[in-house]
Amino acid sequence: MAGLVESVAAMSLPLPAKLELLREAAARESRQERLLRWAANHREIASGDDWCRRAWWGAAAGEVVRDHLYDPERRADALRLVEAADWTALDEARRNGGVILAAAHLGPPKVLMNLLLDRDLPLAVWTNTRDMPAWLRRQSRATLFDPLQADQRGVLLVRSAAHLRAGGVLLAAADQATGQRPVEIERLGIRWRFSRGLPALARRLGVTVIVALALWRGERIHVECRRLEPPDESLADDAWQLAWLERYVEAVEPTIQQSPENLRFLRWAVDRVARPWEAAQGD
Amino acid sequence: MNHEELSRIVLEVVRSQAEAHGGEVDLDTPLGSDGLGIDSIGCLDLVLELERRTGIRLRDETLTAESLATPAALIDHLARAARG
Repeated sequence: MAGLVESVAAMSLPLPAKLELLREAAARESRQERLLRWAANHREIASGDDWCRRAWWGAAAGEVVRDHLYDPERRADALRLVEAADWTALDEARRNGGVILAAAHLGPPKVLMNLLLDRDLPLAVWTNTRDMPAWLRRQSRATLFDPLQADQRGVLLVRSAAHLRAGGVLLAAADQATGQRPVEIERLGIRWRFSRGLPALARRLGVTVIVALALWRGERIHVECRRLEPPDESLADDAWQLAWLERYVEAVEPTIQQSPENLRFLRWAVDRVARPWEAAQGD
Repeated sequence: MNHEELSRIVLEVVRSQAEAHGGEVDLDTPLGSDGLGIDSIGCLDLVLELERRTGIRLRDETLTAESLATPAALIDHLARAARG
Protein backbone atom coordinates (compact mmCIF):
# COMPACT_ATOMS: atom_id res chain seq x y z
CA MET A 1 0.00 0.00 0.00
CA ALA A 2 1.30 3.42 -0.95
CA GLY A 3 2.29 5.72 1.90
CA LEU A 4 0.98 9.24 2.32
CA VAL A 5 3.80 10.97 0.44
CA GLU A 6 3.70 8.50 -2.42
CA SER A 7 -0.09 8.96 -2.64
CA VAL A 8 0.27 12.74 -2.77
CA ALA A 9 3.00 12.46 -5.40
CA ALA A 10 0.67 10.40 -7.60
CA MET A 11 -2.28 12.82 -7.39
CA SER A 12 -3.43 14.69 -10.49
CA LEU A 13 -2.89 18.08 -8.91
CA PRO A 14 -0.55 20.94 -9.70
CA LEU A 15 2.70 20.57 -7.75
CA PRO A 16 2.09 23.68 -5.56
CA ALA A 17 -1.23 22.15 -4.47
CA LYS A 18 0.56 18.94 -3.49
CA LEU A 19 3.03 20.94 -1.40
CA GLU A 20 0.10 22.66 0.29
CA LEU A 21 -1.50 19.29 1.05
CA LEU A 22 1.74 18.20 2.66
CA ARG A 23 1.71 21.34 4.83
CA GLU A 24 -1.69 20.30 6.12
CA ALA A 25 -0.52 16.74 6.71
CA ALA A 26 2.67 17.87 8.47
CA ALA A 27 0.88 18.86 11.70
CA ARG A 28 -0.32 15.29 12.12
CA GLU A 29 2.48 13.29 10.50
CA SER A 30 5.33 15.07 12.24
CA ARG A 31 4.11 13.79 15.63
CA GLN A 32 5.97 10.54 15.02
CA GLU A 33 8.12 9.04 17.73
CA ARG A 34 11.34 8.75 15.74
CA LEU A 35 11.32 12.37 14.61
CA LEU A 36 10.37 13.64 18.06
CA ARG A 37 13.18 11.56 19.58
CA TRP A 38 15.67 12.88 17.02
CA ALA A 39 14.62 16.44 17.83
CA ALA A 40 14.92 15.80 21.57
CA ASN A 41 18.44 14.42 21.08
CA HIS A 42 19.64 17.29 18.89
CA ARG A 43 18.69 20.41 20.76
CA GLU A 44 21.37 22.53 19.08
CA ILE A 45 19.43 22.06 15.85
CA ALA A 46 15.87 21.15 16.76
CA SER A 47 13.26 22.61 19.03
CA GLY A 48 9.52 22.34 19.34
CA ASP A 49 6.54 21.19 17.33
CA ASP A 50 6.97 23.81 14.65
CA TRP A 51 10.51 22.56 13.98
CA CYS A 52 9.18 18.98 13.57
CA ARG A 53 6.41 20.15 11.23
CA ARG A 54 8.84 22.05 9.05
CA ALA A 55 11.36 19.20 9.01
CA TRP A 56 8.69 16.66 8.07
CA TRP A 57 7.30 18.93 5.36
CA GLY A 58 10.74 19.48 3.83
CA ALA A 59 11.46 15.76 3.67
CA ALA A 60 8.04 15.00 2.20
CA ALA A 61 8.11 17.87 -0.28
CA GLY A 62 11.59 16.81 -1.38
CA GLU A 63 10.34 13.31 -2.19
CA VAL A 64 7.47 14.72 -4.25
CA VAL A 65 9.77 17.11 -6.09
CA ARG A 66 12.16 14.27 -6.87
CA ASP A 67 9.24 12.23 -8.21
CA HIS A 68 8.38 15.09 -10.58
CA LEU A 69 12.00 15.56 -11.65
CA TYR A 70 12.22 11.89 -12.58
CA ASP A 71 9.14 12.04 -14.82
CA PRO A 72 9.74 13.64 -18.25
CA GLU A 73 6.12 14.86 -18.35
CA ARG A 74 6.26 16.59 -14.96
CA ARG A 75 9.93 17.56 -14.62
CA ALA A 76 9.31 21.16 -15.71
CA ASP A 77 6.73 21.60 -12.89
CA ALA A 78 9.45 20.93 -10.34
CA LEU A 79 11.93 23.29 -11.98
CA ARG A 80 9.29 26.04 -12.06
CA LEU A 81 9.46 26.10 -8.25
CA VAL A 82 12.96 27.53 -8.52
CA GLU A 83 13.27 31.27 -8.12
CA ALA A 84 15.38 32.86 -10.87
CA ALA A 85 18.84 31.53 -10.08
CA ASP A 86 21.81 33.88 -10.12
CA TRP A 87 24.72 32.05 -11.74
CA THR A 88 27.03 35.08 -11.81
CA ALA A 89 29.54 33.53 -9.38
CA LEU A 90 29.76 30.40 -11.52
CA ASP A 91 30.01 32.29 -14.81
CA GLU A 92 32.75 34.53 -13.44
CA ALA A 93 34.69 31.59 -12.00
CA ARG A 94 34.52 29.72 -15.30
CA ARG A 95 36.51 32.46 -16.99
CA ASN A 96 39.50 31.19 -15.00
CA GLY A 97 39.04 27.50 -15.83
CA GLY A 98 37.43 24.56 -14.10
CA VAL A 99 35.04 25.02 -11.18
CA ILE A 100 33.98 22.71 -8.37
CA LEU A 101 30.41 23.22 -7.20
CA ALA A 102 30.48 21.79 -3.68
CA ALA A 103 26.89 20.82 -2.97
CA ALA A 104 25.32 19.29 0.15
CA HIS A 105 22.55 16.89 1.09
CA LEU A 106 20.39 19.86 1.99
CA GLY A 107 17.23 21.11 0.33
CA PRO A 108 15.07 19.19 -2.15
CA PRO A 109 17.08 16.41 -3.80
CA LYS A 110 18.40 16.56 -7.36
CA VAL A 111 17.13 20.08 -8.04
CA LEU A 112 20.57 21.66 -8.38
CA MET A 113 21.74 18.86 -10.65
CA ASN A 114 18.69 19.17 -12.87
CA LEU A 115 19.06 22.94 -13.13
CA LEU A 116 22.66 22.50 -14.21
CA LEU A 117 21.81 19.73 -16.66
CA ASP A 118 19.61 22.24 -18.46
CA ARG A 119 22.40 24.79 -18.77
CA ASP A 120 24.88 24.65 -21.62
CA LEU A 121 27.83 23.59 -19.49
CA PRO A 122 30.64 21.04 -19.71
CA LEU A 123 29.32 19.31 -16.61
CA ALA A 124 30.38 16.28 -14.62
CA VAL A 125 28.36 15.13 -11.61
CA TRP A 126 29.15 12.81 -8.74
CA THR A 127 25.79 11.21 -8.14
CA ASN A 128 24.08 7.98 -7.32
CA THR A 129 23.33 7.00 -10.91
CA ARG A 130 21.19 4.02 -9.87
CA ASP A 131 18.76 6.45 -8.34
CA MET A 132 18.15 8.10 -11.73
CA PRO A 133 15.75 6.89 -14.41
CA ALA A 134 17.37 5.71 -17.62
CA TRP A 135 15.75 8.45 -19.74
CA LEU A 136 17.41 11.19 -17.66
CA ARG A 137 20.80 9.49 -17.82
CA ARG A 138 20.42 9.11 -21.59
CA GLN A 139 19.20 12.67 -22.12
CA SER A 140 21.90 14.20 -19.97
CA ARG A 141 24.95 15.49 -21.76
CA ALA A 142 26.83 15.51 -18.47
CA THR A 143 29.39 12.94 -17.41
CA LEU A 144 27.92 11.08 -14.44
CA PHE A 145 30.27 9.46 -11.92
CA ASP A 146 28.99 7.25 -9.14
CA PRO A 147 31.05 7.75 -5.95
CA LEU A 148 29.30 4.80 -4.33
CA GLN A 149 31.24 2.36 -6.52
CA ALA A 150 34.23 1.66 -4.30
CA ASP A 151 36.41 0.14 -7.03
CA GLN A 152 35.97 3.23 -9.22
CA ARG A 153 36.97 5.98 -6.78
CA GLY A 154 40.52 6.33 -8.08
CA VAL A 155 39.18 6.64 -11.62
CA LEU A 156 36.54 9.09 -10.41
CA LEU A 157 39.18 11.45 -9.01
CA VAL A 158 41.51 11.16 -11.97
CA ARG A 159 38.74 11.66 -14.55
CA SER A 160 37.32 14.54 -12.51
CA ALA A 161 40.77 16.13 -12.47
CA ALA A 162 41.02 15.83 -16.25
CA HIS A 163 37.53 17.29 -16.62
CA LEU A 164 38.35 20.28 -14.40
CA ARG A 165 41.65 20.86 -16.12
CA ALA A 166 39.80 21.04 -19.42
CA GLY A 167 37.69 23.88 -17.98
CA GLY A 168 34.73 21.74 -16.92
CA VAL A 169 32.32 22.18 -14.02
CA LEU A 170 32.14 19.43 -11.40
CA LEU A 171 29.06 19.16 -9.20
CA ALA A 172 29.66 17.00 -6.13
CA ALA A 173 28.25 16.82 -2.63
CA ALA A 174 31.08 17.38 -0.17
CA ASP A 175 29.12 16.06 2.80
CA GLN A 176 29.47 12.35 2.32
CA ALA A 177 32.05 9.88 3.50
CA THR A 178 32.56 7.25 0.84
CA GLY A 179 36.34 6.87 0.83
CA GLN A 180 39.00 5.64 3.21
CA ARG A 181 40.18 7.80 6.12
CA PRO A 182 37.13 10.08 6.38
CA VAL A 183 37.49 13.43 8.16
CA GLU A 184 35.30 13.93 11.21
CA ILE A 185 34.11 17.35 12.30
CA GLU A 186 31.93 17.81 15.34
CA ARG A 187 29.44 20.64 15.03
CA LEU A 188 25.97 21.31 16.40
CA GLY A 189 26.21 18.21 18.58
CA ILE A 190 26.71 15.87 15.63
CA ARG A 191 29.87 14.18 14.41
CA TRP A 192 29.81 14.74 10.64
CA ARG A 193 31.97 12.60 8.36
CA PHE A 194 33.45 13.73 5.06
CA SER A 195 35.50 12.21 2.27
CA ARG A 196 38.86 13.75 1.51
CA GLY A 197 38.50 13.36 -2.25
CA LEU A 198 36.86 16.68 -3.08
CA PRO A 199 39.21 18.89 -1.04
CA ALA A 200 42.17 16.90 -2.37
CA LEU A 201 40.99 17.57 -5.90
CA ALA A 202 40.43 21.27 -5.15
CA ARG A 203 43.96 21.67 -3.82
CA ARG A 204 45.76 19.75 -6.52
CA LEU A 205 43.91 21.44 -9.37
CA GLY A 206 43.81 24.89 -7.77
CA VAL A 207 40.34 25.50 -9.20
CA THR A 208 37.68 27.82 -7.84
CA VAL A 209 35.24 26.20 -5.43
CA ILE A 210 31.69 27.45 -5.01
CA VAL A 211 29.40 26.11 -2.31
CA ALA A 212 26.17 25.65 -4.22
CA LEU A 213 22.83 24.81 -2.62
CA ALA A 214 19.23 24.61 -3.81
CA LEU A 215 17.13 25.24 -0.71
CA TRP A 216 13.50 25.54 0.25
CA ARG A 217 12.42 29.11 0.87
CA GLY A 218 8.73 28.82 1.69
CA GLU A 219 7.22 26.76 -1.11
CA ARG A 220 9.80 27.99 -3.61
CA ILE A 221 13.36 26.84 -4.15
CA HIS A 222 16.23 29.27 -3.94
CA VAL A 223 19.72 28.70 -5.34
CA GLU A 224 22.69 29.95 -3.32
CA CYS A 225 26.22 30.15 -4.68
CA ARG A 226 29.03 31.28 -2.42
CA ARG A 227 32.73 31.10 -3.15
CA LEU A 228 34.80 28.98 -0.76
CA GLU A 229 38.20 30.57 -0.23
CA PRO A 230 41.06 28.05 -0.15
CA PRO A 231 42.93 27.53 3.14
CA ASP A 232 46.50 28.67 3.66
CA GLU A 233 48.77 27.04 1.10
CA SER A 234 51.47 26.40 3.72
CA LEU A 235 49.33 23.78 5.51
CA ALA A 236 50.22 20.11 5.20
CA ASP A 237 47.82 18.10 3.08
CA ASP A 238 45.68 16.56 5.87
CA ALA A 239 45.46 19.90 7.70
CA TRP A 240 44.54 21.68 4.45
CA GLN A 241 41.74 19.19 3.77
CA LEU A 242 40.44 19.62 7.32
CA ALA A 243 40.56 23.42 7.01
CA TRP A 244 38.77 23.25 3.64
CA LEU A 245 36.04 21.05 5.11
CA GLU A 246 35.67 23.32 8.15
CA ARG A 247 35.07 26.26 5.79
CA TYR A 248 32.53 24.19 3.91
CA VAL A 249 30.77 23.32 7.19
CA GLU A 250 30.72 27.00 8.16
CA ALA A 251 29.02 27.73 4.85
CA VAL A 252 26.25 25.15 5.32
CA GLU A 253 25.88 25.38 9.11
CA PRO A 254 23.32 28.25 9.14
CA THR A 255 21.01 26.21 6.93
CA ILE A 256 21.29 23.19 9.23
CA GLN A 257 20.69 25.31 12.30
CA GLN A 258 17.90 27.55 11.05
CA SER A 259 16.08 25.75 8.30
CA PRO A 260 14.59 22.36 9.26
CA GLU A 261 12.78 21.98 5.93
CA ASN A 262 16.18 21.70 4.25
CA LEU A 263 17.53 18.84 6.38
CA ARG A 264 17.44 16.17 3.72
CA PHE A 265 19.18 13.71 6.04
CA LEU A 266 15.84 13.39 7.87
CA ARG A 267 14.34 11.74 4.80
CA TRP A 268 13.66 8.63 6.88
CA ALA A 269 10.79 10.55 8.49
CA VAL A 270 8.63 10.11 5.38
CA ASP A 271 7.71 7.25 3.10
CA ARG A 272 9.73 6.88 -0.06
CA VAL A 273 8.17 7.32 -3.48
CA ALA A 274 8.90 4.16 -5.45
CA ARG A 275 11.48 4.26 -8.24
CA PRO A 276 10.74 1.11 -10.25
CA TRP A 277 13.83 1.50 -12.45
CA GLU A 278 16.08 0.74 -9.45
CA ALA A 279 14.77 -2.83 -9.28
CA ALA A 280 15.24 -3.17 -13.02
CA GLN A 281 18.92 -2.28 -12.53
CA GLY A 282 19.35 -5.19 -10.17
CA ASP A 283 19.28 -3.47 -6.77
CA MET B 1 59.64 8.98 -25.21
CA ASN B 2 60.24 5.29 -25.87
CA HIS B 3 58.56 2.39 -24.10
CA GLU B 4 61.60 1.59 -21.98
CA GLU B 5 61.88 5.13 -20.68
CA LEU B 6 58.14 5.29 -19.99
CA SER B 7 58.33 2.00 -18.07
CA ARG B 8 61.24 3.27 -15.98
CA ILE B 9 59.38 6.47 -15.03
CA VAL B 10 56.16 4.64 -14.20
CA LEU B 11 57.96 2.14 -11.97
CA GLU B 12 59.91 4.94 -10.27
CA VAL B 13 56.78 6.95 -9.53
CA VAL B 14 54.80 3.92 -8.39
CA ARG B 15 57.68 2.81 -6.16
CA SER B 16 57.86 6.23 -4.54
CA GLN B 17 54.11 6.06 -3.86
CA ALA B 18 54.45 2.48 -2.66
CA GLU B 19 57.12 3.34 -0.09
CA ALA B 20 54.38 4.43 2.26
CA HIS B 21 52.83 1.01 1.88
CA GLY B 22 56.10 -0.94 2.13
CA GLY B 23 55.36 -3.07 -0.89
CA GLU B 24 57.56 -4.58 -3.60
CA VAL B 25 56.65 -3.35 -7.05
CA ASP B 26 56.91 -5.01 -10.42
CA LEU B 27 55.00 -4.43 -13.63
CA ASP B 28 52.09 -6.62 -12.56
CA THR B 29 51.73 -5.51 -8.95
CA PRO B 30 48.13 -4.42 -8.35
CA LEU B 31 48.04 -0.80 -7.24
CA GLY B 32 44.72 -1.01 -5.39
CA SER B 33 43.46 -2.75 -2.29
CA ASP B 34 44.49 -6.16 -3.62
CA GLY B 35 48.14 -5.06 -3.84
CA LEU B 36 49.85 -1.83 -2.82
CA GLY B 37 46.69 -0.40 -1.30
CA ILE B 38 47.06 2.97 -2.98
CA ASP B 39 43.82 4.83 -2.25
CA SER B 40 41.90 7.15 -4.56
CA ILE B 41 43.87 10.27 -3.59
CA GLY B 42 47.12 8.31 -3.94
CA CYS B 43 45.90 7.28 -7.37
CA LEU B 44 45.26 10.91 -8.30
CA ASP B 45 48.72 11.93 -7.05
CA LEU B 46 50.28 9.08 -8.98
CA VAL B 47 48.68 10.13 -12.26
CA LEU B 48 49.42 13.84 -11.77
CA GLU B 49 53.07 13.03 -11.06
CA LEU B 50 53.27 10.75 -14.10
CA GLU B 51 51.80 13.50 -16.27
CA ARG B 52 54.36 15.94 -14.89
CA ARG B 53 57.27 13.57 -15.47
CA THR B 54 56.23 12.34 -18.91
CA GLY B 55 54.49 15.41 -20.30
CA ILE B 56 51.63 13.11 -21.38
CA ARG B 57 48.18 14.36 -20.46
CA LEU B 58 45.50 11.80 -19.77
CA ARG B 59 42.03 12.56 -21.05
CA ASP B 60 38.88 12.16 -19.00
CA GLU B 61 36.96 9.86 -21.29
CA THR B 62 39.70 7.32 -21.91
CA LEU B 63 40.46 6.35 -18.31
CA THR B 64 39.08 3.20 -16.76
CA ALA B 65 39.74 1.28 -13.57
CA GLU B 66 41.70 -1.20 -15.68
CA SER B 67 44.08 1.54 -16.88
CA LEU B 68 45.00 2.20 -13.26
CA ALA B 69 45.19 -1.42 -12.13
CA THR B 70 48.95 -2.14 -12.44
CA PRO B 71 52.13 -0.37 -13.58
CA ALA B 72 51.94 -2.34 -16.85
CA ALA B 73 48.40 -1.11 -17.49
CA LEU B 74 49.45 2.46 -16.74
CA ILE B 75 52.37 2.19 -19.15
CA ASP B 76 50.05 0.91 -21.89
CA HIS B 77 47.57 3.68 -21.22
CA LEU B 78 50.21 6.42 -21.22
CA ALA B 79 51.73 5.02 -24.42
CA ARG B 80 48.31 5.10 -26.11
CA ALA B 81 47.69 8.63 -24.83
CA ALA B 82 51.07 9.74 -26.18
CA ARG B 83 50.16 8.37 -29.60
CA GLY B 84 46.92 10.36 -29.42
